[in-house]
Amino acid sequence: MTWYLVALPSLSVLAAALEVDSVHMGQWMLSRPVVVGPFFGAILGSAWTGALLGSLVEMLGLEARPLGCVVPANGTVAAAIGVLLCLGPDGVVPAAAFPAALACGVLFSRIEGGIRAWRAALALPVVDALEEGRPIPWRGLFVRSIGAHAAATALFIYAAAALLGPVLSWFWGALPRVLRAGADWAFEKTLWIALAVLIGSLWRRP
Amino acid sequence: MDEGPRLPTFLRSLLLQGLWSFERMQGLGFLFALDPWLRRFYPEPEPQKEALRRHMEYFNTQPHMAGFILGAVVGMEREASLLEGPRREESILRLLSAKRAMASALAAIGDGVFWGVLRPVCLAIAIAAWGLFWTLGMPHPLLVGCLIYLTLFNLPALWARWEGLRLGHSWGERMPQELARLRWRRATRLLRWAGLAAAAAVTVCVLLVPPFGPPGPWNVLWLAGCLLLQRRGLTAARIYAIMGVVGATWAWVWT
Repeated sequence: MTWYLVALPSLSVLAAALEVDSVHMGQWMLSRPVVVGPFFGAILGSAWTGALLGSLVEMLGLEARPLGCVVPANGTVAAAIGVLLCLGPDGVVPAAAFPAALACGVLFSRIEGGIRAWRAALALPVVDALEEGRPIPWRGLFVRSIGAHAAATALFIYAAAALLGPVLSWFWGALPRVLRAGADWAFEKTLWIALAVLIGSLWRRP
Repeated sequence: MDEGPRLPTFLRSLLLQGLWSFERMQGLGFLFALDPWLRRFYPEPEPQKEALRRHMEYFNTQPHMAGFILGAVVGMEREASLLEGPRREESILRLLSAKRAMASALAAIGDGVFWGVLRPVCLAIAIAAWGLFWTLGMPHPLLVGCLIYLTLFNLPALWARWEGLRLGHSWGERMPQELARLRWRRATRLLRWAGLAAAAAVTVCVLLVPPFGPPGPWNVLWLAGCLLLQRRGLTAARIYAIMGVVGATWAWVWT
């Protein structure tokens, strides 16, 4: 129970705080999967597992750039959920945790798109303040904007890790051997896929 | 723009995307960074309201390059505030046109430099550093590698944000010509080659000592196959799914 009541909520909040750096504040790359992975892995007892998952997510994430309206799959969320699933009490095998984490990253990007659409309403207090000649309430606006995003991130990571942990553990055991072999094989080859994406992104002229 | 007035604008620019929306993108964040300057340049209520309102509009650029535009706009708004009547209006129209043009131009440069080159280069060097320091038996190889990643990215990124304010302020509308003189294309080309060298080193090490399975010629074929499929336009997710199907089929046929 300590995991669900203390460790997982704390780590979810920590991941959400780091994730704010990805778009909304600073962009010092503290939210990158290659940083979040080993950091969370070190907290949970296996930094190298976290580094492997984080670097795989990071390399695969090079395919999509955050240009314009594009909301790419959230790498921070994927890396955090992947490490929590692998190194949490359920000990999900990486071959199951990794694709689930990537899927969570894609799913969260849809939620993130919804939050960004909601933020259009935050222009109204600015317009009202200008009309009435008041100072613009910047602090309140940023707290609402970034707070909503951080809260959604923390809740999503908590829910995903709490639900997927036991589900994937049971599912992996119930999966036919042939499909387990296929998933294992695909995860083994992820390293070559990721290296191909990295080399391809460097080879292409920007 | 000296260090004194530059620091608050620099700190505010770190929240450029804090109010990001599809409608205005970085518009509100840009206004937040510019707010103290506009209130200083236009102390009367009506001109101040107009100045704040015109910078609420849609704005989007690469966030690390926004400092250049902020500096340029501060300089142009200062000049406009000293004019009156139709000359001020003409100056403001030129300012807004220049702002939009600079946003697009700097977005193209910044996206290519920071997202297209610097991020993968730093990643390749960090992973190479992990392997090197672990092989050499150094303590905390992962921590050192992550610090290298953060340092290599943030040094040029923070330089662009900080110095961009001063340079944008002094260049103003001459920004495209001045940026062309910075030889950023040559710098990114050199960076790309450094990143490719690091990626090649990582690839060779992983081929010789793969973390999954034994080393062998098959690993070279898998890597070559993934590179080929990538060049054909397949995404990593599709290649992953194909690998899963192939693996399952192989297991079903051979057992």
